[in-house]
Amino acid sequence: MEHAGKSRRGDRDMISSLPDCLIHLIMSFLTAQQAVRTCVLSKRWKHLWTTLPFLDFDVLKFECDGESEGGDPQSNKLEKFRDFVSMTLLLREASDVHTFRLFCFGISHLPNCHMLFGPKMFLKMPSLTSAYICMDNIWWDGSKSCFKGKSNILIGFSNVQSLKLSGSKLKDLLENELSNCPEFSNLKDLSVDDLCLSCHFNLLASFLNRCPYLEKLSLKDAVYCESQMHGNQELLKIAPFNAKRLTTVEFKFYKRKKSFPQVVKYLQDITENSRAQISMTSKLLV
Amino acid sequence: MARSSTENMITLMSSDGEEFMVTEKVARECTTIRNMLEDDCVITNIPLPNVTSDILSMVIEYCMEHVAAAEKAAAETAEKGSSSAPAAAKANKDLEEWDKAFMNVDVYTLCDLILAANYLNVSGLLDLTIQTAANLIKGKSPEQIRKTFHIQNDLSLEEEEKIRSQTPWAFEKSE
Repeated sequence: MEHAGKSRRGDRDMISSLPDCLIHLIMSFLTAQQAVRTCVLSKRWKHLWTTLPFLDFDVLKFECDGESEGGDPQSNKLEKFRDFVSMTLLLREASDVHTFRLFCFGISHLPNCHMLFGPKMFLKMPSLTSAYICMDNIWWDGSKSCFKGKSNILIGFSNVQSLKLSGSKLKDLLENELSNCPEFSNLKDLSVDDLCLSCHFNLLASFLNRCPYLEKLSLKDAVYCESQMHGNQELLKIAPFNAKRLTTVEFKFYKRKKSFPQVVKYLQDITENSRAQISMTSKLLV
Repeated sequence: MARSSTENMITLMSSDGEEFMVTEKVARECTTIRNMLEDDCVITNIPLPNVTSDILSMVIEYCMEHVAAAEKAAAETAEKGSSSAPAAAKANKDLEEWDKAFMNVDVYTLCDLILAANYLNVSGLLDLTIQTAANLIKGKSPEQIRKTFHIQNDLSLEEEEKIRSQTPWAFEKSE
């Protein structure tokens, strides 16, 4: 019986006969680069990537010949990665993306690396429900922001329900884009890692003011902060945000800093209004 | 495993007419069947025209294993008041090992299982089979992927070159 079944199938191409949605599900476990590369498998696969609803861009898993062309291999790789992200977003049907992950990490000494992405790159994803952005260590002279040009990343994510932001360049991202950001009226679950809460709590607070229906907030304080001005900021110029639906706040930190009592007070204030549970844990630096 | 006589039995019928008697609890692992049972609770015989007997028997095997594991964990928790963390971790690891061994199938069976898991809506099995298929693609060149899944390349050399030249940013690294 089983034998008959097998010979009946012969060398039939079963995977290509799966419906698009199931092939997309398989592709969701691949990086965007690997998913796009399936376009040369056969006619069936040629356009499948252009409607893939899950996009995972990860510079650490990005394969390219960085060394072959001379110059700084790290910069070459970052540039090629940036081009890959841009081209993939431009050439596909962006409207149906619902999960987006972008992981950028690397050091470039190229002066044009601050224009990480074009201004319209991220604007066409109305169905996006879940996004993860990590911007780490991208700079060209160490002093200037890598987000000099407006990337409009956050604006593109204004419909998301779940948003995770991390990386040492998160401060630059927020500083550059917050003023243009609309309300995140669908956002329920926000996670912010690696933002120095002593120095940049105001950035977080003004971001929170745009998230009126937030239910869960996870904060992880930065291990290291470039500005080294712990506790010198004036906190709470911004009105505390009215978190009607907030149920959970998680706050993790590595060590107590001078301004922490204020941060904690702010968190207690917002959780008191909404009667949310707040948990604070201190993790020792490994 | 001994079943109490009061437990409801359900008969599932495959596309090729074979009948499988399972407990209601096992059948309920399939969300599609659970929904049918909730709509009409006296139903005891369910035809599944999209699933062949060899695949259905595998789906049932998967559901039985996972129901048994969940029952064992629940029994241990009830006995001791709370489950001990190391024991739960071991049980999880055992089930993962079982899943891994269960996935030792050819690509045809794998694709059939994906279709059946999707149709019957067994989310654990769908995740497992999809992840397994993705692992077979990861790190492979297009030629290796075609070979693994017996994909017939119906693109002419010119067409393939054209696609590659339109998407050079995806093929940075020479294979």
